[in-house]
Amino acid sequence: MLDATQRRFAALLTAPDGVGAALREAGDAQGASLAGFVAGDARLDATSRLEVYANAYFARILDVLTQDFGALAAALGREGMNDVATAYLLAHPSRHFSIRHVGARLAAYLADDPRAAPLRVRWPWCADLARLETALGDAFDAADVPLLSREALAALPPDAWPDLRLHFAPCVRLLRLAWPVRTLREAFERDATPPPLVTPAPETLLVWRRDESVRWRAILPLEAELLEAALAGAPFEALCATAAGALGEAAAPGYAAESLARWVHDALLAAQ
Amino acid sequence: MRPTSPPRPREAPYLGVGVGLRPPHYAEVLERGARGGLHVDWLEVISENFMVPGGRPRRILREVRALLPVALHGVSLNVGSVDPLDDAYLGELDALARRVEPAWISDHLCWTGVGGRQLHDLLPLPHAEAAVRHVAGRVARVQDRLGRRIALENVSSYVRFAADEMSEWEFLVAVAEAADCGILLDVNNAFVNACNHGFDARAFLDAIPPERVFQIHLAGHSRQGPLRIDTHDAHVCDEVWELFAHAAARLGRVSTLIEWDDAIPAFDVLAAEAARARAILDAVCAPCESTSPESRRAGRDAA
Repeated sequence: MLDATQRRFAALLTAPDGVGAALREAGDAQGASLAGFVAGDARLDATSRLEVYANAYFARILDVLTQDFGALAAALGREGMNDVATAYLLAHPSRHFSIRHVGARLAAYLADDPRAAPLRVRWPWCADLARLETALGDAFDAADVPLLSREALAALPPDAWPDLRLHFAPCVRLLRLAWPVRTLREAFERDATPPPLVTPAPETLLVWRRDESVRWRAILPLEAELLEAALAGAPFEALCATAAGALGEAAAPGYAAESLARWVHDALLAAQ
Repeated sequence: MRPTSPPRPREAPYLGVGVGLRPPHYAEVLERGARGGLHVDWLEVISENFMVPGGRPRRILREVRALLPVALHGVSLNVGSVDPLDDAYLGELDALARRVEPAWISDHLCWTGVGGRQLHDLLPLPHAEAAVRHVAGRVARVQDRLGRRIALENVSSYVRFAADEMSEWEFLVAVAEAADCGILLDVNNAFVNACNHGFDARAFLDAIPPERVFQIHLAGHSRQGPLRIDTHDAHVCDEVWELFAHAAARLGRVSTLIEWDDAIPAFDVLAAEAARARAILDAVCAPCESTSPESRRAGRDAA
């Protein structure tokens, strides 16, 4: 009894166009089939009572997605965000106990899911913006780890440097994006009107957390290359070689060391 | 025969009147709490908000806990569902409880998802014997897993099931007795349901066994057509204050908490609601306490 009750309740709650529409589609416009299921009364019929839950279900998830993907919601507008949330929820009903994770697969859905193709046509940059905002959310409550200090680095013996492999804090995300969605996020953070995005332009963004505050910045191609290599576990010697390829042998160690100093300052690196 | 205080659950001593801790108040609570200027006695947090790997939420909870007693209030136990209990959730709840050492742990007498799909809402159960057996067995397993009794809260609802065999309060008490768990009595929810389903909220409150009540919730609600909706976005209404006084007269001093989850006002607004609840408890409960053998003895000792 309980099993059938909950499955039917859930099916009505999550029906894409509401309880009334679901009943009409099933040939029961009057909701007569609800008689042995839920009870209405003189004040309100059973269909309308179920609609309260159905409306709350969608509104609650839309609210969380709008908070977690603030710039995306601002750029899509109310109706656009509504369309995205509806399509996404149909493809990926929430499966994690915490509503905090309800948007975890939104970026991948917008980027790769065949069902999201119409959304990509309307907003070709939407997956990139969702990736950025997913990274911001992940960075907010990623695990705390002891950080690598400048002093610890300075105490490293010279012969240890070539083989030095860096460990990154769990909050660090490096995003290679096809669209300059940075402008949309910046506009959102300034509470400004989102600029139109019509032309793709690759950019690399770095997301991290320092002093409990989530930060992000666009980075230049060489720093992106070094970070990517370091994140993949390449030793410091290899980072210098990468820098040398772009800057020449003379300038490379200095650039690699400056980059490293900045990463330490920004709290990107975990203690060894 | 003079009135005496009713029996209390051993694991739920009276903590006073508290408020639900929500993100807009984190910084203020820490700042004022450190200098004793909060004017609330304890805090309740939503367990799931702190089931995160790290960052600000975990630090805040650690520091808040150092200031005041904290109770963990969950929304995802899904104890009424026909789905298997979520081991991952219970593991995280257990780990959180070990970190926080809460006064107690509570969740809701409801289901929140089925078939692996989470609906993120506190959904009602049919008030039927089969549901009592189903839920009670699961609550017992949760309590075994956590190594403590938990409290279950009565939820607001907007439908009744054709399969109902008993009143909501009979259902709540039957589950609590069968599972040997506590009750988190939400007076606002009892009132909302009384309005939505046409019963006397006092009948609900009068049926609750005092020895199982860990805590009371008070909150505001809104109207939507003929229904009252449990929105937690307003002051506690007059009818609910009256019902709270009625409950306090029967239950004695029970730890009481103000919930406010939407359109969250300044912390002082919550503290003022807490002060009003405290004044009601003092007015209603003090006469009984002053004539109880324990308080007479305490009075003699103090003298």
